[in-house]
Amino acid sequence: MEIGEVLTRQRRERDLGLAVHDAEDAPAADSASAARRDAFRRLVDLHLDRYYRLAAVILGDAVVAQDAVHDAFVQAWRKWDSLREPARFEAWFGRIVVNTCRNLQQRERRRVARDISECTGLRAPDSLSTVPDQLVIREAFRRLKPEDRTILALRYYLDLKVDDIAVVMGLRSRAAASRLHRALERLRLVLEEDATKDAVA
Amino acid sequence: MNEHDDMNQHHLEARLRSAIHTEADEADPGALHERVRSIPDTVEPQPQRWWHGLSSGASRGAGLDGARVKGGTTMFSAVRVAAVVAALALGTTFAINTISEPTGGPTPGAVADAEWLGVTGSGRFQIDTRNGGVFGRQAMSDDRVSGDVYTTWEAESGANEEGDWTMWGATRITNEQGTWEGEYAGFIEPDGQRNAMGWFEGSGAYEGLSYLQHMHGYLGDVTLTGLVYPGSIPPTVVRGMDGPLKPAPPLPEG
Repeated sequence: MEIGEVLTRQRRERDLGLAVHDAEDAPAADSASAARRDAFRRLVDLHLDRYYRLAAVILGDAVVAQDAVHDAFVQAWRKWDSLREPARFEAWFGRIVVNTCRNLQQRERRRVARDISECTGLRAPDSLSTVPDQLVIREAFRRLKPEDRTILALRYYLDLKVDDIAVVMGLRSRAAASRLHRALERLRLVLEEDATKDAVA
Repeated sequence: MNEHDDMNQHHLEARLRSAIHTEADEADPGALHERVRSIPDTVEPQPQRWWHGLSSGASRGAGLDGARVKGGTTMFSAVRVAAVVAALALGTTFAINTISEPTGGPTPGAVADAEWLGVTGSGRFQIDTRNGGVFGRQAMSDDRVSGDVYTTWEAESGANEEGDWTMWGATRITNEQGTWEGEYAGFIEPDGQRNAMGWFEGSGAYEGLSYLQHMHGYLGDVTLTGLVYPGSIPPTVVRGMDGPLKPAPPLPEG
Protein backbone atom coordinates (compact mmCIF):
# COMPACT_ATOMS: atom_id res chain seq x y z
CA MET A 1 0.00 0.00 0.00
CA GLU A 2 1.37 3.41 -0.94
CA ILE A 3 2.20 5.72 1.94
CA GLY A 4 -0.37 8.19 0.63
CA GLU A 5 -3.06 5.53 0.76
CA VAL A 6 -2.08 4.56 4.29
CA LEU A 7 -2.26 8.16 5.42
CA THR A 8 -5.58 8.64 3.68
CA ARG A 9 -6.98 5.50 5.31
CA GLN A 10 -5.73 6.54 8.73
CA ARG A 11 -7.21 9.97 8.26
CA ARG A 12 -10.56 8.52 7.27
CA GLU A 13 -10.57 6.14 10.21
CA ARG A 14 -9.73 8.99 12.53
CA ASP A 15 -12.39 11.19 10.99
CA LEU A 16 -14.98 8.49 11.45
CA GLY A 17 -13.86 7.71 14.97
CA LEU A 18 -12.91 4.21 13.88
CA ALA A 19 -9.19 4.43 14.47
CA VAL A 20 -7.90 1.39 16.34
CA HIS A 21 -4.65 1.92 18.18
CA ASP A 22 -1.87 -0.52 17.55
CA ALA A 23 -0.55 -2.34 20.61
CA GLU A 24 2.46 -0.03 20.80
CA ASP A 25 0.17 3.00 20.76
CA ALA A 26 -1.93 1.72 23.66
CA PRO A 27 0.17 3.21 26.51
CA ALA A 28 0.14 6.61 24.83
CA ALA A 29 -3.62 6.40 24.38
CA ASP A 30 -4.10 5.34 28.01
CA SER A 31 -1.88 8.18 29.13
CA ALA A 32 -3.84 10.71 27.08
CA SER A 33 -7.08 9.33 28.45
CA ALA A 34 -5.79 9.55 32.04
CA ALA A 35 -4.60 13.10 31.46
CA ARG A 36 -8.02 14.05 30.16
CA ARG A 37 -9.72 12.55 33.21
CA ASP A 38 -7.29 14.36 35.51
CA ALA A 39 -7.90 17.66 33.75
CA PHE A 40 -11.65 17.16 34.06
CA ARG A 41 -11.40 16.38 37.78
CA ARG A 42 -9.20 19.40 38.41
CA LEU A 43 -11.83 21.60 36.84
CA VAL A 44 -14.53 19.88 38.87
CA ASP A 45 -12.60 20.63 42.08
CA LEU A 46 -12.08 24.21 41.01
CA HIS A 47 -15.55 25.08 39.81
CA LEU A 48 -18.13 22.70 41.19
CA ASP A 49 -19.00 24.57 44.39
CA ARG A 50 -19.39 27.87 42.62
CA TYR A 51 -21.62 26.55 39.85
CA TYR A 52 -23.58 24.34 42.20
CA ARG A 53 -24.41 27.36 44.34
CA LEU A 54 -25.25 29.39 41.26
CA ALA A 55 -27.68 26.64 40.21
CA ALA A 56 -29.14 26.51 43.73
CA VAL A 57 -29.82 30.26 43.61
CA ILE A 58 -31.32 30.11 40.11
CA LEU A 59 -33.44 27.04 40.80
CA GLY A 60 -34.25 27.80 44.44
CA ASP A 61 -33.82 24.12 45.26
CA ALA A 62 -30.54 22.64 46.46
CA VAL A 63 -31.47 19.08 45.50
CA VAL A 64 -32.58 19.93 41.97
CA ALA A 65 -29.42 22.04 41.67
CA GLN A 66 -27.32 18.93 42.38
CA ASP A 67 -28.97 17.15 39.47
CA ALA A 68 -28.57 20.20 37.25
CA VAL A 69 -24.86 20.55 37.93
CA HIS A 70 -24.29 16.82 37.62
CA ASP A 71 -26.06 16.83 34.24
CA ALA A 72 -24.06 19.87 33.16
CA PHE A 73 -20.77 18.16 34.03
CA VAL A 74 -21.88 15.01 32.19
CA GLN A 75 -22.45 17.13 29.11
CA ALA A 76 -19.14 18.90 29.60
CA TRP A 77 -17.32 15.57 29.86
CA ARG A 78 -19.08 14.11 26.84
CA LYS A 79 -18.17 17.16 24.79
CA TRP A 80 -14.71 17.59 26.29
CA ASP A 81 -12.97 17.42 22.93
CA SER A 82 -15.06 20.25 21.55
CA LEU A 83 -13.66 22.63 24.17
CA ARG A 84 -11.13 24.18 21.85
CA GLU A 85 -9.79 26.78 24.28
CA PRO A 86 -9.44 25.43 27.84
CA ALA A 87 -8.93 29.00 29.04
CA ARG A 88 -12.51 29.66 28.07
CA PHE A 89 -13.85 26.81 30.17
CA GLU A 90 -15.82 29.06 32.50
CA ALA A 91 -17.77 30.82 29.75
CA TRP A 92 -18.34 27.48 27.97
CA PHE A 93 -19.41 25.66 31.10
CA GLY A 94 -21.44 28.63 32.34
CA ARG A 95 -23.58 28.37 29.24
CA ILE A 96 -24.10 24.67 29.78
CA VAL A 97 -25.17 25.26 33.39
CA VAL A 98 -27.51 28.10 32.47
CA ASN A 99 -29.08 26.07 29.65
CA THR A 100 -29.46 23.05 31.94
CA CYS A 101 -31.11 25.19 34.63
CA ARG A 102 -33.38 26.75 32.04
CA ASN A 103 -34.58 23.35 30.87
CA LEU A 104 -35.14 22.15 34.42
CA GLN A 105 -37.04 25.32 35.27
CA GLN A 106 -39.35 24.86 32.32
CA ARG A 107 -40.03 21.28 33.35
CA GLU A 108 -40.49 22.32 36.96
CA ARG A 109 -42.86 25.12 35.95
CA ARG A 110 -45.15 22.58 34.29
CA ARG A 111 -45.09 20.44 37.42
CA VAL A 112 -45.72 23.41 39.69
CA ALA A 113 -48.60 24.51 37.49
CA ARG A 114 -50.25 21.13 38.07
CA ASP A 115 -49.67 21.15 41.81
CA ILE A 116 -50.52 24.78 42.48
CA SER A 117 -53.74 23.92 44.34
CA GLU A 118 -51.70 22.17 47.00
CA CYS A 119 -49.67 25.30 47.54
CA THR A 120 -52.45 27.73 48.41
CA GLY A 121 -52.15 29.03 51.91
CA LEU A 122 -48.52 28.06 51.97
CA ARG A 123 -47.35 31.47 52.94
CA ALA A 124 -46.80 32.01 56.65
CA PRO A 125 -48.90 34.79 58.18
CA ASP A 126 -45.86 36.64 59.49
CA SER A 127 -46.01 40.38 59.33
CA LEU A 128 -43.31 42.16 57.40
CA SER A 129 -41.81 43.62 60.52
CA THR A 130 -41.03 40.21 62.00
CA VAL A 131 -39.60 38.63 58.90
CA PRO A 132 -35.91 39.17 58.37
CA ASP A 133 -35.16 41.30 55.36
CA GLN A 134 -33.22 38.54 53.62
CA LEU A 135 -36.21 36.20 53.68
CA VAL A 136 -38.39 38.90 52.16
CA ILE A 137 -35.88 39.41 49.38
CA ARG A 138 -35.46 35.68 48.83
CA GLU A 139 -39.17 35.08 48.59
CA ALA A 140 -39.55 37.91 46.11
CA PHE A 141 -36.58 36.59 44.14
CA ARG A 142 -38.15 33.15 43.86
CA ARG A 143 -41.29 34.65 42.41
CA LEU A 144 -39.39 36.19 39.52
CA LYS A 145 -39.30 34.55 36.11
CA PRO A 146 -36.46 32.05 35.58
CA GLU A 147 -34.73 34.36 33.11
CA ASP A 148 -34.76 37.18 35.67
CA ARG A 149 -33.43 34.92 38.42
CA THR A 150 -30.68 33.70 36.11
CA ILE A 151 -29.41 37.13 35.13
CA LEU A 152 -29.60 38.44 38.71
CA ALA A 153 -27.73 35.39 40.01
CA LEU A 154 -25.01 35.82 37.38
CA ARG A 155 -24.65 39.47 38.35
CA TYR A 156 -24.99 39.34 42.14
CA TYR A 157 -23.67 35.87 42.94
CA LEU A 158 -20.94 35.30 40.34
CA ASP A 159 -20.33 39.06 40.19
CA LEU A 160 -20.07 38.90 36.40
CA LYS A 161 -19.90 42.12 34.47
CA VAL A 162 -22.56 42.83 31.88
CA ASP A 163 -20.29 41.81 28.99
CA ASP A 164 -19.58 38.45 30.63
CA ILE A 165 -23.26 37.92 31.40
CA ALA A 166 -23.95 38.55 27.73
CA VAL A 167 -21.48 35.83 26.75
CA VAL A 168 -22.95 33.27 29.15
CA MET A 169 -26.55 34.03 28.21
CA GLY A 170 -25.89 34.40 24.50
CA LEU A 171 -27.02 38.01 24.36
CA ARG A 172 -25.61 41.26 23.10
CA SER A 173 -24.18 43.45 25.84
CA ARG A 174 -26.91 46.05 25.46
CA ALA A 175 -29.59 43.39 25.67
CA ALA A 176 -27.96 41.92 28.77
CA ALA A 177 -27.80 45.36 30.41
CA SER A 178 -31.42 46.01 29.55
CA ARG A 179 -32.57 42.63 30.88
CA LEU A 180 -30.60 43.11 34.06
CA HIS A 181 -32.22 46.49 34.61
CA ARG A 182 -35.70 45.10 33.95
CA ALA A 183 -35.10 42.13 36.26
CA LEU A 184 -34.17 44.50 39.09
CA GLU A 185 -37.24 46.59 38.39
CA ARG A 186 -39.46 43.53 38.54
CA LEU A 187 -37.87 42.53 41.84
CA ARG A 188 -38.58 45.99 43.19
CA LEU A 189 -42.22 45.72 42.05
CA VAL A 190 -42.66 42.32 43.71
CA LEU A 191 -41.22 43.70 46.93
CA GLU A 192 -43.56 46.68 46.80
CA GLU A 193 -46.56 44.44 46.15
CA ASP A 194 -45.62 42.26 49.10
CA ALA A 195 -45.19 45.27 51.33
CA THR A 196 -48.63 46.58 50.31
CA LYS A 197 -50.29 43.20 50.94
CA ASP A 198 -48.64 42.89 54.32
CA ALA A 199 -49.67 46.41 55.23
CA VAL A 200 -53.31 45.62 54.33
CA ALA A 201 -53.18 42.33 56.23
CA MET B 1 -32.21 58.72 37.81
CA ASN B 2 -31.97 61.25 40.66
CA GLU B 3 -29.84 60.91 43.78
CA HIS B 4 -32.66 59.40 45.81
CA ASP B 5 -33.41 56.77 43.16
CA ASP B 6 -29.73 56.06 42.89
CA MET B 7 -29.49 55.39 46.62
CA ASN B 8 -32.55 53.16 46.47
CA GLN B 9 -31.02 51.26 43.58
CA HIS B 10 -27.79 50.68 45.46
CA HIS B 11 -29.69 49.71 48.59
CA LEU B 12 -31.75 47.15 46.67
CA GLU B 13 -28.65 45.74 44.99
CA ALA B 14 -26.89 45.40 48.33
CA ARG B 15 -29.88 43.62 49.90
CA LEU B 16 -30.17 41.31 46.92
CA ARG B 17 -26.47 40.52 46.87
CA SER B 18 -26.52 39.70 50.57
CA ALA B 19 -29.64 37.52 50.29
CA ILE B 20 -28.30 35.63 47.27
CA HIS B 21 -24.96 34.96 48.92
CA THR B 22 -26.66 33.71 52.07
CA GLU B 23 -28.84 31.36 50.05
CA ALA B 24 -25.82 30.20 48.07
CA ASP B 25 -23.80 29.55 51.21
CA GLU B 26 -26.64 27.45 52.62
CA ALA B 27 -26.49 25.11 49.64
CA ASP B 28 -24.23 22.23 50.54
CA PRO B 29 -22.82 20.23 47.65
CA GLY B 30 -22.35 17.28 49.98
CA ALA B 31 -21.50 14.15 48.04
CA LEU B 32 -21.84 15.93 44.72
CA HIS B 33 -18.07 16.22 44.35
CA GLU B 34 -17.59 12.47 44.39
CA ARG B 35 -20.58 11.93 42.14
CA VAL B 36 -19.27 14.37 39.56
CA ARG B 37 -15.65 13.25 39.84
CA SER B 38 -16.75 9.72 38.98
CA ILE B 39 -18.39 10.81 35.72
CA PRO B 40 -15.34 9.82 33.59
CA ASP B 41 -15.56 6.31 35.06
CA THR B 42 -19.08 5.77 33.80
CA VAL B 43 -19.62 8.10 30.86
CA GLU B 44 -17.80 7.78 27.56
CA PRO B 45 -16.64 11.06 26.08
CA GLN B 46 -18.18 11.74 22.74
CA PRO B 47 -15.69 11.02 19.95
CA GLN B 48 -14.51 14.19 18.33
CA ARG B 49 -16.60 14.95 15.31
CA TRP B 50 -14.71 14.99 12.09
CA TRP B 51 -15.81 18.53 11.34
CA HIS B 52 -14.33 19.88 14.58
CA GLY B 53 -11.20 21.91 14.06
CA LEU B 54 -11.02 21.47 10.34
CA SER B 55 -9.51 24.32 8.41
CA SER B 56 -10.74 25.28 5.01
CA GLY B 57 -7.55 24.44 3.15
CA ALA B 58 -6.07 20.99 3.64
CA SER B 59 -9.16 19.54 5.20
CA ARG B 60 -11.34 20.66 2.34
CA GLY B 61 -9.05 18.73 0.06
CA ALA B 62 -9.15 15.78 2.47
CA GLY B 63 -12.88 15.56 2.29
CA LEU B 64 -13.08 16.12 -1.41
CA ASP B 65 -10.25 13.92 -2.60
CA GLY B 66 -11.44 11.62 -5.28
CA ALA B 67 -14.65 12.21 -7.11
CA ARG B 68 -17.62 14.17 -5.88
CA VAL B 69 -19.84 11.21 -6.56
CA LYS B 70 -19.41 7.77 -5.13
CA GLY B 71 -20.77 4.39 -5.99
CA GLY B 72 -22.31 2.15 -3.35
CA THR B 73 -25.41 0.62 -1.96
CA THR B 74 -26.23 3.08 0.79
CA MET B 75 -29.92 3.55 1.25
CA PHE B 76 -31.66 6.40 2.98
CA SER B 77 -35.32 6.36 2.18
CA ALA B 78 -38.14 8.71 2.99
CA VAL B 79 -39.58 6.00 5.20
CA ARG B 80 -36.45 6.03 7.35
CA VAL B 81 -36.38 9.82 7.51
CA ALA B 82 -40.02 9.87 8.55
CA ALA B 83 -39.38 7.12 11.07
CA VAL B 84 -36.68 9.13 12.81
CA VAL B 85 -39.05 12.08 13.22
CA ALA B 86 -41.82 9.79 14.39
CA ALA B 87 -39.49 8.01 16.82
CA LEU B 88 -38.43 11.29 18.36
CA ALA B 89 -41.93 12.69 18.50
CA LEU B 90 -43.36 9.58 20.07
CA GLY B 91 -40.41 8.87 22.31
CA THR B 92 -40.09 5.39 20.92
CA THR B 93 -36.97 3.35 20.30
CA PHE B 94 -34.82 3.99 17.27
CA ALA B 95 -35.04 0.95 15.06
CA ILE B 96 -33.48 2.25 11.93
CA ASN B 97 -30.48 0.60 10.42
CA THR B 98 -29.00 3.88 9.25
CA ILE B 99 -28.24 4.73 12.88
CA SER B 100 -25.65 2.58 14.54
CA GLU B 101 -26.01 1.59 18.18
CA PRO B 102 -26.30 4.99 19.86
CA THR B 103 -24.53 4.39 23.14
CA GLY B 104 -24.67 7.74 24.78
CA GLY B 105 -26.84 10.01 22.75
CA PRO B 106 -30.31 11.22 23.56
CA THR B 107 -32.21 8.15 24.65
CA PRO B 108 -35.88 8.27 23.69
CA GLY B 109 -36.80 8.66 27.35
CA ALA B 110 -34.52 11.64 27.74
CA VAL B 111 -35.99 13.29 24.70
CA ALA B 112 -39.51 12.66 25.90
CA ASP B 113 -38.83 13.94 29.41
CA ALA B 114 -36.75 16.97 28.62
CA GLU B 115 -37.99 20.29 27.41
CA TRP B 116 -37.80 19.99 23.64
CA LEU B 117 -39.22 22.39 21.18
CA GLY B 118 -40.68 21.72 17.74
CA VAL B 119 -39.88 24.37 15.16
CA THR B 120 -40.96 25.10 11.60
CA GLY B 121 -39.71 27.46 8.95
CA SER B 122 -38.30 27.81 5.48
CA GLY B 123 -35.05 28.36 3.70
CA ARG B 124 -33.74 29.76 0.47
CA PHE B 125 -30.52 28.26 -0.78
CA GLN B 126 -28.38 28.30 -3.88
CA ILE B 127 -25.34 26.50 -5.21
CA ASP B 128 -21.98 27.93 -4.26
CA THR B 129 -20.51 27.63 -7.73
CA ARG B 130 -16.95 28.32 -6.61
CA ASN B 131 -16.77 25.69 -3.86
CA GLY B 132 -19.50 23.28 -4.83
CA GLY B 133 -21.48 23.70 -1.63
CA VAL B 134 -24.86 25.22 -0.99
CA PHE B 135 -25.48 28.43 0.93
CA GLY B 136 -28.42 30.58 1.94
CA ARG B 137 -30.56 31.58 4.89
CA GLN B 138 -33.23 29.89 6.90
CA ALA B 139 -35.92 31.57 8.99
CA MET B 140 -37.49 29.44 11.70
CA SER B 141 -40.20 29.87 14.31
CA ASP B 142 -37.44 29.93 16.93
CA ASP B 143 -34.64 32.43 16.30
CA ARG B 144 -32.06 30.09 17.80
CA VAL B 145 -32.14 27.91 14.69
CA SER B 146 -32.50 30.72 12.15
CA GLY B 147 -29.52 32.19 10.35
CA ASP B 148 -26.99 31.81 7.59
CA VAL B 149 -26.50 28.29 6.31
CA TYR B 150 -23.61 26.63 4.56
CA THR B 151 -23.81 23.03 3.42
CA THR B 152 -21.45 20.66 1.66
CA TRP B 153 -22.58 17.54 -0.10
CA GLU B 154 -21.69 14.20 -1.58
CA ALA B 155 -23.96 12.03 -3.71
CA GLU B 156 -24.20 8.50 -4.98
CA SER B 157 -23.13 7.87 -8.55
CA GLY B 158 -26.61 6.86 -9.59
CA ALA B 159 -30.23 6.76 -8.59
CA ASN B 160 -31.78 3.84 -6.74
CA GLU B 161 -34.76 1.82 -8.00
CA GLU B 162 -37.17 4.52 -6.88
CA GLY B 163 -35.25 7.16 -8.79
CA ASP B 164 -33.82 8.84 -5.69
CA TRP B 165 -30.19 9.88 -5.45
CA THR B 166 -28.68 9.47 -2.01
CA MET B 167 -26.81 12.53 -0.78
CA TRP B 168 -25.14 13.51 2.46
CA GLY B 169 -22.93 16.25 3.82
CA ALA B 170 -22.22 18.70 6.59
CA THR B 171 -24.17 21.80 7.55
CA ARG B 172 -23.43 24.87 9.58
CA ILE B 173 -26.16 27.26 10.72
CA THR B 174 -24.81 30.50 12.13
CA ASN B 175 -26.44 33.46 13.81
CA GLU B 176 -25.26 36.14 16.20
CA GLN B 177 -25.69 34.01 19.30
CA GLY B 178 -24.07 30.77 18.21
CA THR B 179 -23.63 28.01 15.70
CA TRP B 180 -25.13 24.62 14.89
CA GLU B 181 -22.91 22.12 13.11
CA GLY B 182 -23.41 18.55 12.09
CA GLU B 183 -24.09 16.07 9.33
CA TYR B 184 -27.16 15.38 7.28
CA ALA B 185 -28.24 12.62 4.92
CA GLY B 186 -31.10 12.23 2.53
CA PHE B 187 -31.80 12.06 -1.15
CA ILE B 188 -32.62 14.05 -4.23
CA GLU B 189 -36.04 13.06 -5.52
CA PRO B 190 -36.55 12.36 -9.22
CA ASP B 191 -38.09 15.82 -9.70
CA GLY B 192 -35.07 17.54 -8.09
CA GLN B 193 -36.52 18.21 -4.65
CA ARG B 194 -34.19 17.65 -1.71
CA ASN B 195 -35.36 15.50 1.18
CA ALA B 196 -32.88 15.25 4.04
CA MET B 197 -32.44 15.00 7.76
CA GLY B 198 -29.62 16.66 9.71
CA TRP B 199 -28.51 16.36 13.30
CA PHE B 200 -26.58 19.31 14.67
CA GLU B 201 -24.71 20.24 17.84
CA GLY B 202 -25.06 23.71 19.29
CA SER B 203 -22.16 25.90 20.31
CA GLY B 204 -21.89 29.46 21.55
CA ALA B 205 -25.16 30.30 23.27
CA TYR B 206 -26.50 26.89 22.27
CA GLU B 207 -23.89 24.84 24.06
CA GLY B 208 -25.54 21.75 25.50
CA LEU B 209 -28.39 21.77 22.99
CA SER B 210 -28.90 19.71 19.85
CA TYR B 211 -31.06 20.29 16.83
CA LEU B 212 -32.64 17.72 14.54
CA GLN B 213 -33.89 19.17 11.27
CA HIS B 214 -35.76 17.82 8.27
CA MET B 215 -35.74 19.70 4.99
CA HIS B 216 -37.87 19.16 1.92
CA GLY B 217 -38.27 21.10 -1.30
CA TYR B 218 -36.40 22.76 -4.10
CA LEU B 219 -33.24 24.58 -3.08
CA GLY B 220 -34.80 27.99 -3.69
CA ASP B 221 -37.77 27.25 -1.44
CA VAL B 222 -37.24 24.62 1.22
CA THR B 223 -39.65 23.71 3.99
CA LEU B 224 -37.98 22.98 7.31
CA THR B 225 -39.15 21.30 10.48
CA GLY B 226 -37.12 20.38 13.50
CA LEU B 227 -36.67 19.73 17.16
CA VAL B 228 -34.41 21.60 19.58
CA TYR B 229 -33.61 19.58 22.66
CA PRO B 230 -31.11 19.48 25.53
CA GLY B 231 -28.43 16.84 25.26
CA SER B 232 -26.17 15.39 22.63
CA ILE B 233 -26.57 13.88 19.22
CA PRO B 234 -25.92 10.13 18.92
CA PRO B 235 -22.26 9.16 18.56
CA THR B 236 -22.68 8.01 14.97
CA VAL B 237 -25.57 9.30 12.97
CA VAL B 238 -25.14 8.27 9.40
CA ARG B 239 -24.22 4.73 8.51
CA GLY B 240 -24.90 2.92 5.31
CA MET B 241 -25.92 -0.70 4.89
CA ASP B 242 -22.30 -1.74 4.30
CA GLY B 243 -20.60 0.48 6.83
CA PRO B 244 -19.92 4.12 7.47
CA LEU B 245 -20.38 6.52 4.63
CA LYS B 246 -17.47 8.29 3.10
CA PRO B 247 -16.95 11.49 5.09
CA ALA B 248 -18.99 14.39 3.87
CA PRO B 249 -16.98 17.28 2.45
CA PRO B 250 -15.88 19.49 5.33
CA LEU B 251 -17.27 22.93 5.88
CA PRO B 252 -15.06 25.92 5.19
CA GLU B 253 -13.82 27.70 8.25
CA GLY B 254 -16.57 29.73 9.87
